[in-house]
Amino acid sequence: MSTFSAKGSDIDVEAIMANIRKKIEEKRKGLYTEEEVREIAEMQLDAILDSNQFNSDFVAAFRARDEQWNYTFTPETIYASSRGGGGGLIRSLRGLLNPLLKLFFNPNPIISALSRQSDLNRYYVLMLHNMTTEMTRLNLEFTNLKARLRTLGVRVDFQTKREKTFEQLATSNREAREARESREPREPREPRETREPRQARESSSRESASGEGRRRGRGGGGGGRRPYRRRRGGKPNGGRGGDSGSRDSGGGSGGGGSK
Amino acid sequence: MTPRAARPSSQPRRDVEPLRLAFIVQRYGEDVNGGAEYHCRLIAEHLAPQHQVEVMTSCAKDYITWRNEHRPGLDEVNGVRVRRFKVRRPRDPDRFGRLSQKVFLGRHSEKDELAWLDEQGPFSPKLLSFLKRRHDDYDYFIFFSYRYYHSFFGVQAVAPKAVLVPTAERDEVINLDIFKGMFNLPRAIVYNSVEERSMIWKTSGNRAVRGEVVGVGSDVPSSIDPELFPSRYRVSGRYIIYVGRVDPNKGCRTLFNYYRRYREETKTPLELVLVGGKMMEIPEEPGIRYVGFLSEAEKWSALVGAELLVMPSELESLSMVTNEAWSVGKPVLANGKCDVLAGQCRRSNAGLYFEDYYEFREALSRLESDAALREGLGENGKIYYRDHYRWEVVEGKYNRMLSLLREEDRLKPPVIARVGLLARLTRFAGQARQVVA
Repeated sequence: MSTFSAKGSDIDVEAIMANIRKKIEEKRKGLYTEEEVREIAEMQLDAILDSNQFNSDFVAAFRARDEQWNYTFTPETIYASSRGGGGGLIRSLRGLLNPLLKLFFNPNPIISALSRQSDLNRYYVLMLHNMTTEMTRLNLEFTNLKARLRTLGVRVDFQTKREKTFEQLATSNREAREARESREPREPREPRETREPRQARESSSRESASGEGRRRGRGGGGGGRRPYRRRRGGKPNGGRGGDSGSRDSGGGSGGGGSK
Repeated sequence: MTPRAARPSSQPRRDVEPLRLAFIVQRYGEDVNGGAEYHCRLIAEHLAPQHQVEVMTSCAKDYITWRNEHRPGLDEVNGVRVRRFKVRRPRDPDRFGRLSQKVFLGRHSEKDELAWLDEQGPFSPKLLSFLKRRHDDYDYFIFFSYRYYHSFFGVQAVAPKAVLVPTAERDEVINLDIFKGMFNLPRAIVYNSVEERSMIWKTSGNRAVRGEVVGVGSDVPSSIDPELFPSRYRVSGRYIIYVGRVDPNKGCRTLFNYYRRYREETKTPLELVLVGGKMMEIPEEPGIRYVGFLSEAEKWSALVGAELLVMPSELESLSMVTNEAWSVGKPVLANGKCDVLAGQCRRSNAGLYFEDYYEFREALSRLESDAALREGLGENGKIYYRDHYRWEVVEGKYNRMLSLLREEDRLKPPVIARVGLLARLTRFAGQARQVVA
């Protein structure tokens, strides 16, 4: 058996290709490959947008447990004490010493800022919740539209196929009629002959349809399967080797074309 | 592969025992354009001076509908006897589409695959019954294209005398269950490439069946006028060439996209010349020149004048035009996703290949700028063609294989089961006579 190779000169295609690939790799260094870019573009924000995971009671739950995630800040907060009864005394003492404290720094802007931040936190939660609700709604709408588009696409494909079939049918009918007319020289026309070609076409198509049906009924097409039927044991096999290949589930719908 | 008129170059050889050979192919004729059909015609015409050759085929010209267009019966094409059989039922595109979807995309049974094969066609039971009735009149039957009705059932009918030329591609048809057993049936298989053989070995496990990688030759003219194409089509600059059907299935869309981008990025003056039938819209952009079908002389002139041949197809069992480019010393830039083309480039050291745009750009720019590389690759191509695809080599491989089969048959003649009630009765009568005697 010949090796089917040629080594005519010192050129080595594999080395050239390896060199080309290395050069491309160097150029690409630090950059995203096309596949990575495509992947990123197709990435979905599932964590936010998945409607199944979305909790519509989110804001109510947050509001109910405000103290767990947020803080309450009033002008009195910085003087408050958690020591029960003694706490009142401590608070009064701090209040008395407040003028002294103000000699060192002014706590009022801090109190005001912290108080406002606490309100803002509540506001942000509400806003985020509303945005999430809206995005989830849009996502659901988008999914519905996508599904609808797919359905319409399938319908268009079907109609296109149908149209092609009708076109082919019309062409073959026209050719058959032309062939018939060219074989049979026309006799002088009678007045009702103007409708005849259509009637003839209809009747011939009916005849051919019924003829095909009869043939199939008697086993038309059996010529194709007959050789296989005799080999009912299974796949065609000449007994000269086993069937050891593995089968991938192929995609696509080709296979009809001539090569 | 681009169809063209072929002239048998072979002379009758005294060292070859003349055999009665039947070639069975889905369509046949000079006006039939199709890779496998053209391949079959070339082989039949080149073996005809040495053997008694007859071609059996359908009356169809169109492989989509299989409509009967030729007259049934005997005919002659370029000195080769052709026997045509009617297609009983043309293909129903709707049904075929539905079956294809089921068979290739969904769960299905062997019965579905057989129904698909019937619809795949050409559905000609007359051809099959002729094979069964008259197999004694022929020494060997050479079937082309495994995927069609005639090959599947024909190989089963005359398996001990069958030689199969599968012309298989790496598509989903090869994975159908019905074909796995089929590759184990014939006496010998003629592969187009080493990759095709590996693929079939892997799919069907038919290593035990005699096989040879042969391919097909090309009729390279003895003299080519390099000025003919440029002067007739006013091509003055440097160009790369694509020869074949301009079809998205042949990778032409990818080629246009890559070429456009390459031209924009590198400002190359290289033009892209397209030769062949048009099956898609060709972008009207600077640099892309579509010249349609060319005569043989023009085509060879165009090939000789090109810097290189570009072959963007992902599915090829053998690219004849690639061999033709190599025969005139032109390098090839092929699609590396097609294992046959990439394998041929590697083995021949006569072409580069690409799997994405970046590789296309690098490979083409290197080929464009490096004349020595182009020349070296072209020289390697010439050697590769000379060693493997000259007609003398191809014919020799066929003859050697047939001689081996003949020798085996002398020791143990092939037995093909007769069919029909009369045949069974005759056999029974013979056995009965022996018992009585």
